Amino acid sequence: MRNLDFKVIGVAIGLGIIAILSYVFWKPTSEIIMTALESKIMTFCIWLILILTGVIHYYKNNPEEKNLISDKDGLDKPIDYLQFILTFGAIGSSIQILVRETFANYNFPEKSICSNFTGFDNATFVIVIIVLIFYSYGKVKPVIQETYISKEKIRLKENELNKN
Amino acid sequence: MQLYVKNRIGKKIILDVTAPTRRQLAFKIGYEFYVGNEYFHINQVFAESSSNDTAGGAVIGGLIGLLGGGIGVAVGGILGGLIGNTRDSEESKNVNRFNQSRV
Repeated sequence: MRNLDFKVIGVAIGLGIIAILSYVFWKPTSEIIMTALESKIMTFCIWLILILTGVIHYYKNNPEEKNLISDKDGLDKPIDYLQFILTFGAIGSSIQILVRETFANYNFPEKSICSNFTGFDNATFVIVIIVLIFYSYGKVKPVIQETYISKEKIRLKENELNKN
Repeated sequence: MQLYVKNRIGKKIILDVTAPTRRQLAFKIGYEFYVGNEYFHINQVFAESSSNDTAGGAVIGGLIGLLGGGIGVAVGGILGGLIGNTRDSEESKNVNRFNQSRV
């Protein structure tokens, strides 16, 4: 018998409660979602988290001691960090705009900029949102883990050092 | 997947390197290495799963689904969980492959 994963059970219960609450109280829920999607604070937070993560990652993974070994996920030079922040900042902001527009199209037509979009256009937006989120999740997660999870660097034996 | 060793007092130390097998790890760092001041052999390195993508996928799926209402949360959560579970199964295979590997 497989062990019960309490984290998954907790998430399932949490999502179940959110699903029931949002189904029963959809009007206030949709207003909360729209307010969050429209807020500049959310955009600011996306960029702030990325910049902070980049800075912490850089200082944590550039040791002065040369005989330490560590694996990093593609972030090495300062230009890589700049590319990381700009790429995922732009993706995060784009996701926010696409989600806001799609959500407004169905729930708040008066707030929608592209109000003449068809159902097919909105479906395309949703696909783009899903693809961007799962792509970013796979790329950003390792960097977040390297930044915020404490890992020990390896020091080689002296003869291995000489060999390298 | 993350690699770890246990120190003298049994505390788990997560290593900042990865490799699919012990042989490939040895190729990368040698058969013996130090973490802090403590000496370890490659056979003392073990692998474990570093994340729970089933839960992560369900949360992301649920949040995307929230845009479609209560039913969307349920459908998105289930789909996201299934996608995450596929990744977890893959990682579980990688963990087993490392732990069963010999140098």
